[in-house]
Amino acid sequence: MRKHLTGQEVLRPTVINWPNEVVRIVDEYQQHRGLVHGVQKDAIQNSWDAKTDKKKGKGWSTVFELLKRKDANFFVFSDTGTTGLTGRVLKFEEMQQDLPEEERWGRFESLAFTKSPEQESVPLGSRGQGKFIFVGASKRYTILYDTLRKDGVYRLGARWVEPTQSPVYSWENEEAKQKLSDLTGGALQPLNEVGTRVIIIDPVDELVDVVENGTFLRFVGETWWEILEKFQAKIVLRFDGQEIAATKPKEFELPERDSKDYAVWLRENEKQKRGNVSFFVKKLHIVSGRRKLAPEEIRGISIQRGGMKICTLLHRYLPQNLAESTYGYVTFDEDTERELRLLEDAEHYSVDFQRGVGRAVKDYVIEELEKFAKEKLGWGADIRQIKRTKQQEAELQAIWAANRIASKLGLVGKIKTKTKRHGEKGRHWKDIRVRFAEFVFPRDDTIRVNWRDKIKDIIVEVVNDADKPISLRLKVFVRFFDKVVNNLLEKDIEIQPYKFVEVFGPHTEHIDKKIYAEKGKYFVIARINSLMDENKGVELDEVKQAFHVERDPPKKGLFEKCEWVGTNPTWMGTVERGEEEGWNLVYNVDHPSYRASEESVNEQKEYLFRLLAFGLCRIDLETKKEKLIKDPKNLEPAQLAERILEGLGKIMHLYHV
Amino acid sequence: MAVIIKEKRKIAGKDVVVKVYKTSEAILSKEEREQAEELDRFLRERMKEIEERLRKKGLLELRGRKGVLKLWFELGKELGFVDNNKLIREADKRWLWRALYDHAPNLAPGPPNVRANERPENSHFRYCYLLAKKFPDFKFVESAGDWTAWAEFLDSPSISEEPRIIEWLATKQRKYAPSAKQDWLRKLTRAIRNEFPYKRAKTDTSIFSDEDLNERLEATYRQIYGENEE
Repeated sequence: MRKHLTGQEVLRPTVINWPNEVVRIVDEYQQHRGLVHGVQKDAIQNSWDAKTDKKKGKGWSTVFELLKRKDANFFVFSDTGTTGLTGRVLKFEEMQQDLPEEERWGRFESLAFTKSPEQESVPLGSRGQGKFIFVGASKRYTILYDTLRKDGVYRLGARWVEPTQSPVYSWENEEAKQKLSDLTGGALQPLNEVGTRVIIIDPVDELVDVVENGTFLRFVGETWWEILEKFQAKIVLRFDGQEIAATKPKEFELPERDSKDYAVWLRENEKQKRGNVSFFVKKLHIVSGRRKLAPEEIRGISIQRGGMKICTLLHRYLPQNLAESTYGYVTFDEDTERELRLLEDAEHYSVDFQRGVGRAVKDYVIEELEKFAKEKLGWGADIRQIKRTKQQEAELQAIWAANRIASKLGLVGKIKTKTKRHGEKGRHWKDIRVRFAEFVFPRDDTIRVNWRDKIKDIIVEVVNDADKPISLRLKVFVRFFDKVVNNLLEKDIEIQPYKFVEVFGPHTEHIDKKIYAEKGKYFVIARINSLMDENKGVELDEVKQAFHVERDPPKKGLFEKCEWVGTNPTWMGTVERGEEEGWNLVYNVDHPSYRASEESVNEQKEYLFRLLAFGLCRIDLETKKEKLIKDPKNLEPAQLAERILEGLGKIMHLYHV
Repeated sequence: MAVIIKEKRKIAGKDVVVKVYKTSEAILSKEEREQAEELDRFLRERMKEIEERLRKKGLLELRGRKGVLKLWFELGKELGFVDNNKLIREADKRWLWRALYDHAPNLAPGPPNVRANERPENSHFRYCYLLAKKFPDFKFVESAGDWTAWAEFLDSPSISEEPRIIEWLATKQRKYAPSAKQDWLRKLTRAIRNEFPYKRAKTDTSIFSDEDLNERLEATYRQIYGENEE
């Protein structure tokens, strides 16, 4: 663009609403394990990356400290055995380039200007937004950071957030020492060992609470157990005159042999291949407690990278009692770690398991979990059923893959999302109403339940915001289509004006196959009907919460659903506009290619995906988006056919690679 | 399990009739497709047999004529087979009512209308089934009203799904000779609907005790027919 300018123009930067940006970053972390979990993860990750003994981290330590002072609190973390924040204080222009690893100070002060991960050994962090979680953990959106380097340079920096900028400033040596004293009211002394320190000014209450109630160290132990155990890494927390060292959670017991208390599954140094993707497993260690359940945060198989827990994988068909007692981890060689890192989200809490090495690793872990459950936990009986279920899901998988690619290609329009009943601004609430507290489902990210699972914390409250007492009947029941399958409560109640009462729960609903015999979508319904003379029997309010038994709920995307037709066996299918804003795949179950594909999950998925790929080309033409086929109006029919084939090729490439 | 229905569709620019697999499931497995085809064959055979039996009884001739109530009542009795059939899943039962139009066009008043396509649970075949199931005594059915009156009655869930209202209604049978009060049902349906509304303000009649409900029904009755009717 600049080549089209004379050089005389005064350019205007794009204004960023920085407070909103910080809130956005904090929200990203909240969606995973929360802000405080993110603070410890990013703090240790930055520090562990900068360790001087690259192999074993000898002499490395990180100390977290909560200092409570009259004027302000400080949450401080400092490290030793690290390089400190080396490098220069960079000018604005320099910050716009990719920065080498040695320019640590510059990297810490910029956002997302780091070398691409392919070029380096595998550092834990890279995208640079982690420092903003520290800013977000400050009530004043302000942090200080200081470093003492091997060459004796002491430097103090500050970052804060203003409406349209997030400025940084720094001081060196004597000036820096004086400034530190001024800014912290003398609460902190300059560093006397080589390393780095970050000072969160006035930490948010959530952070203070988590430090004081002991959860902070548990977060550390759960995330960093591998370096704590393998390298005896020292991570401590100081507050209120105490110093406590982080340790691996005691429930994360990793026995190497079967015993009366544990079933164990080990795989070591295995080269694996799934499809055309190869990877190397250093260790897969699965444990299942025979007598006790594992705490929620350690359940599942932890995907480890560089000593850090990224996320967990769990077999979705495992019965609840096994799922709740099974845990472990998997580690990989450096090459695999490097590839996995490319598939990680910016917060390092999830991996894209839909493609490349992510998908291969997931398949491997799930297969091993299945073998373990079958051979050691006596879970053989359901395997055939799982195979059938997987086959049924080929269609859903094809749709999800097409939706993912449609989104990548920019073919997706605005997708309507359901408005949540709670918290909608401007909603007019009924004076007399019934409401649910949030149900606790067995899996974090889905309202799917399997037989033998439990839905916990079903709580029903009735509110009377009217100015007179009311008398009503509350019914709580579970419905499958028009049929009531389970009555949970029927109770007459009276409520005084402007009061609310908790009438039911916390109830745990067991998903018993005898009651929830049919797979599909069920609703828990709470309904109140008047018992007052003037409108006896009339429904006053109703709330419902859906859950899906032995089925994944449909996902939002360009393709909404499939329609199955049987017709002339030479016709394969097409896409049609759906009821919402998306499209439906209509396919002919009488076509011989479809019939042939029905025998294998992969073939069926591939067949349907090819139809969907054609559908994407058609949608591209019909909606005139021209993301796949450019300028179709000026193409001869033969050229158009050629371009459609090119489009199909591009989609199939995205699908497989 | 899925249910197959027939629909007109435009395929490759031509209007064709296709089989559409309707299911409450998000996916159609091979197993389910095969079961749907088995159900389709079963329905075709069964409806053919039913049609033949009704023809032999001379009832098919009543179609479109006065007295058709007898035909639909007998058809309803025959449709009792949908209960406890292993090929029919509760969730997909609604589509079965629509599929019957494809298998037994001579047993419907005409081709499926928009309502039958969109809400088959509120369509002809289900009403026939409900009528015979809930009021097995044809004498009473006939005494209460014609087919239109019954269809209106069955169309109101707050009435037709409350067994006590149905029982109460049946007691009226003893008090009136079949010829005495033709078509009293239609008037009564409207009054009961007003007493227990469903469309705007849904009423849950289970709230009422037996005594209370009975009292309200009798009062409604008296409102229409006066004190001396009993």
